[in-house]
Amino acid sequence: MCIAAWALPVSLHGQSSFIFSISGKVTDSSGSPLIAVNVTLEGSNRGTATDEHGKFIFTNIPSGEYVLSFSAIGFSKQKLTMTVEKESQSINIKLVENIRQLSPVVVTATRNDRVASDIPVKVSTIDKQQIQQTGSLRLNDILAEQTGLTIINDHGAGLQVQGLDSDYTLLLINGEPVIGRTAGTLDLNRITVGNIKQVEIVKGPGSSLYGSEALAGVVNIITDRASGTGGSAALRYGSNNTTDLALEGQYKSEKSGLYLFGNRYSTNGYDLSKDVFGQTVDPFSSHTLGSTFDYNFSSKTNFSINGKYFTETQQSKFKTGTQQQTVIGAGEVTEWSINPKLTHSHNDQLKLTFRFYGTTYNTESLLEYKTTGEVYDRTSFGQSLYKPELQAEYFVNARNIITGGVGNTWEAVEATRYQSRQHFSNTYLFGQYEWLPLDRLNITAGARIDMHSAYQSQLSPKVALKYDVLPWLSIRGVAGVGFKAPDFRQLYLNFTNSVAGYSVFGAGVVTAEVESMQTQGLITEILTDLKQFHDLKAESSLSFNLEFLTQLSSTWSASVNLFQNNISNLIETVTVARKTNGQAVFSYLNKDEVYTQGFESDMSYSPAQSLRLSVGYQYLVAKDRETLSNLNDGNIYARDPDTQETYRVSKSEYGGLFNRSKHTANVKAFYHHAKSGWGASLRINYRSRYGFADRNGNGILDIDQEYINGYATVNTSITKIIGEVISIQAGCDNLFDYKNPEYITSLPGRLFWGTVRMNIKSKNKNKP
Amino acid sequence: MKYFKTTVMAIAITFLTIACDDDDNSVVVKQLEAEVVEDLQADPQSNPDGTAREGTNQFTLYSLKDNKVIPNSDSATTKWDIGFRSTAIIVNGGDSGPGQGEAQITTGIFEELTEAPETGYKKDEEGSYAIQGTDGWYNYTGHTGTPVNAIIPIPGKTIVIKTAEGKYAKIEILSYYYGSPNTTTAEFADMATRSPSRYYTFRFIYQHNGSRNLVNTSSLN
Repeated sequence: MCIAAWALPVSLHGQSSFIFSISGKVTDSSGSPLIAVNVTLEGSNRGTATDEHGKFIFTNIPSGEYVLSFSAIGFSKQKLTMTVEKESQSINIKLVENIRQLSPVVVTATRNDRVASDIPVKVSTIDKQQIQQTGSLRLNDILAEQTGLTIINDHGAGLQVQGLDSDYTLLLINGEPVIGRTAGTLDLNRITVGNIKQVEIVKGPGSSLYGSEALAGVVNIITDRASGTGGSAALRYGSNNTTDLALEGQYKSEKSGLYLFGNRYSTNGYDLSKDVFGQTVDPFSSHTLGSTFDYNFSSKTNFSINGKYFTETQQSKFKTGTQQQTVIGAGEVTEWSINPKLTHSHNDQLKLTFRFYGTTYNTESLLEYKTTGEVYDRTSFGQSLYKPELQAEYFVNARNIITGGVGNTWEAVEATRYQSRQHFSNTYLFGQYEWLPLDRLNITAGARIDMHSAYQSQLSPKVALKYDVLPWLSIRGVAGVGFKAPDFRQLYLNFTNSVAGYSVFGAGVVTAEVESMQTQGLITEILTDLKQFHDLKAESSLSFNLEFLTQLSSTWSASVNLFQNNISNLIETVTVARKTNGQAVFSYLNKDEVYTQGFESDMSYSPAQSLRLSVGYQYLVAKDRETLSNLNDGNIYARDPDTQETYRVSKSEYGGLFNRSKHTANVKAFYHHAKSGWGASLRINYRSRYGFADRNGNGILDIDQEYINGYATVNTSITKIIGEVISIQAGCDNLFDYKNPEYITSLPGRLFWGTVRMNIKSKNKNKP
Repeated sequence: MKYFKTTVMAIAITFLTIACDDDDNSVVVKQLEAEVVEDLQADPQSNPDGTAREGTNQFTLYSLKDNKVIPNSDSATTKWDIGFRSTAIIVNGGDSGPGQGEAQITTGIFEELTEAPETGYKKDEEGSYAIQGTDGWYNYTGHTGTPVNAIIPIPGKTIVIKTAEGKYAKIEILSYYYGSPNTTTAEFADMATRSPSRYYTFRFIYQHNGSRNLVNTSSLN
C-alpha cells in the first residue's frame, strides 16, 4: 500500500548506478491476492506492504543481489533471492498457510502490536468468541477457567497468578491500570465481559515495563471499538434472579468510529446456610457504560478516546453483638475513567503515542441498627489517579526495534480510616530493545525506572528470548525483576477498633502516633523499634520463566512453562506496642521472603475446524523462607488437637502458604458448527486441597484439619444461531452442584441460565 | 483426663542411689513429676453446662508448691504463686503480690526445658504482667479467624516462674476451655456449642529445692 518514498544512496552494494525496480504480486495457495503482506528488502531498512490487489513495488533499486522476505499473519515467512542486473524484476509469489494456528496480535508484552507467536514472552489470550461460548458475565467467570489462574475470594474476587495473590497482579483496561483495591484485592466482579474484544494475560516478569504490581502478572483487557455500523443486544436470565442486559451500538465512517456499550447486571445473591440470619451473598446490582471514539486525522495520525462509568449497589442485612441486633444498610461503589490517546507515525520508522488516563474510584457504606436507627458503621474511600505518558517506537529495521517512554502518575486517596488526604507522585522512564539477530532468535530486553515520592526508586529490568530450535519446537525464556509499592493502607492507615480497642497504623504514621500515645500514658511497652518503620521498602521479586512450545501438526499443540518467583521484603503486619488496655498496636514492616515455583502445561487438540479440545494443568509449590529456616532449626511447634501434646513440626509436614492448591487443572471442549449454527461447550475445573487457616496455634499450614478439600466444577453451555441476527444460548454452571457452605461461600450451587442475543451489523461501512 | 493418664504412665518414677565418696550418706535423686491441673476456674462467665453464672472479677490463686487453690482472702500472703482471671495471669510479686514472683515465657518443648534460665525474668507491673497474654501464651483468632473469637494457647511456649518463695517452676498451658476440647472441630467452631471459656488446663513442674534444675530433685537421705 505504501512505498518507501525516500531515495536510497545509489552506490548501495558499491555496484553500478543503474536504477531498477522490483515489483510483484503475493497470493495464497489458491491464488487469491493477499493484502497487507509485509515485504522487506533484507540488508536495507526498506519495507512495504501489499495493496488490495496483493501487489507491491520497490523503486530506485540499483543492480545487485537481493533477498526479499514476505511475512503475514497466518502464513509461513518466505524468502526469495533475486538478482537485478539489466532490467526491473517482477515476480509472483504464493505464501503457504502457517501450520501454527492463527496467532493473535497482542500488545501487552512489548507495549506494541505484535503477533503472539513471534515474541519471546508468552501472552495467553481469550477472545470474544470464547467469552460468548462460555456464557461468562464477569471477568472472574472467564479467568477462573484459564490454566494457572485461580480466583481467591477475599474482600472480592481476586486473581492468583503463579501462586501470588491479587495484590501482585496488575489489571489493565486498554493498557491503563484499574484502581480501587480492598485489602489488596481488586474485585474482578466489577468488570463485565460484554464489551471485551480480547483478554491478554502475561504471567511472571515479562511485563515489568508496567511498574508496580506487575509482579505476578498483567491482565490487559482490550475493549471493543467500532468496526462497522450496527448494534447488538443480549439478555440473560438465570438462577438467583440473575439478570444481565448488554447493549452495544457502533457507527463507523471513513474517518471516524463510535462504539457505545451499556450493561446492567443484578442478582438476588444466595444463601448457603439457611439457619444463619442473613444471606451468604446479599443482593446487588451494577451498571457499566463504556464508549470509544476513534478519529483518523490522516493515515499517519489517529486519535481515540475511551470512557467508562461503573456503579454498584449492594444491600446488607445481618445480626451482630451479644444482643443479636439486626443491622441493615447499603454500600455503593462508583468508578469512572477517561483515556484519550493520540498516535502519530512520523515516518515509516518512528511512531509516537501520547496517552492520558484519569480515573476515580469511590465507595460509601452506611450500616444502621434496624430498631434504633443508630449508626453501626459508616465508611468511605476515595482514590483517584491521573497519568500522562509519551511513548516512541523506533523501527530501525526489521531486526532492530527500540521503544522508549516517559510518564508520570499522580495518585490521591481520602478515606474514613486515613487522617488526611494523602497523595503520591511517580515519574517513570522505560526502554526496550527488540533484537532479531537470526530469523529463529528474538531477544527482547527492557528496563523501567520508577521515581516515587514515598519510597525508594525502583529499577525493574527484564530480558526475554525466543529461539526456534526446530520448525515445530520453540523455547522461550524470561528473567525479570518486578516490584510492588507499599500501598496507602500500609503507609497511612490510622485505625483504632472502638469495640476491641486495638490500633493499626501505616508505617508512615506509626512513629508519631505511638509517641503521642506514649505521652498520654496509653502505652505499656514498645515491642518493635520504631526506627525500623522509617524506611518501608517496596516488595520486590526476581522471577524466571522457561517455556517449551511445540506445534506438532495443525491439530496438536502443547507447551510446558517452568516458573519461579522469589519475593523479598514482603510487607507483613507486626505488633509494635502494647497498650494499657491490654490490646496491641500493629503496623507494617518488610519481613518475609517467599517463593512460588512450579510449572504449567497446556495441550490442545483440534481434530476438525468445529471442535477444539484442551487440557491445562499447573503444579505449584509456595513457601515462606523464614518458616523453612525455622523448621530446619526445629523452632516450630504444634499441639495435637486431641491429646494436647506439643511436638516439633518437621519440614515435611509444612504445606506452604495458605490458599494455594498444589494441583489445578482444567479440561475444555468447544464445539461450533458453522453450517448448522449449533455450538456447545463443556469445561471442567479442578483444584486440589488448599490451606484455609491455622488451627493448631503455630501460624503455619501443617495438619490435615487446616485444609479445605479439593473439588471440581463442571460448566456447560449450548448455543444455536438462527439466521443472521439471532442466537440463543442456554447453560448450566456447576452442573453437579458442588457446595461447601462452611468454607467456600463464594461458590453458589448449580446455576441455570439462558441468553437471547441479537446482532445487527451492516457490512457496508458507510450506511447504517 | 486422657492426657493425665498417659502422663502418669509415661513419667515413671525412678529412685537412684548414689554412693558418696566422703561418707555413708546417700543422695536420693528423684525425677520430677509433672502435675496436671484440669479446668481451673478463672472467673468464668458460664458454668460447665453452659448456663450463665455471675463473675467474681477476682483472680483464682494457686499454690504450685502445694498444688492447690488458695482462697482470695490470702491474696496478700506468699501462700499463692500464680493467679488466673480470664486471659490474665499474674505471679506473686511486683505489683501483684508480696512474694518474690517473676516470670518469663520461653520457646521450646516443655520436657526439653531441663533448667530454668538464670536471667530474663520480669516482675508484674500494673497493667503489664510478666506473663504476656496475646502473642505471649495465646493467640486470639479474632472475628475473622478460624475458629472465630477463640483463645488458643501457642504451642511450644513454656512459662518459667519464680514462685512467691523464689523457687523455680515451669508451666505449660494446654487449654482455656472446659474439658480441654479439640479446637479444630465444628462443635468448637460454633459459638453455640463451644464449651465454656476461662477454665484452664495446664501442667507444671515445681522444684522445691531452690535449684534451677527442672528434671529431678536430689536430697540427702
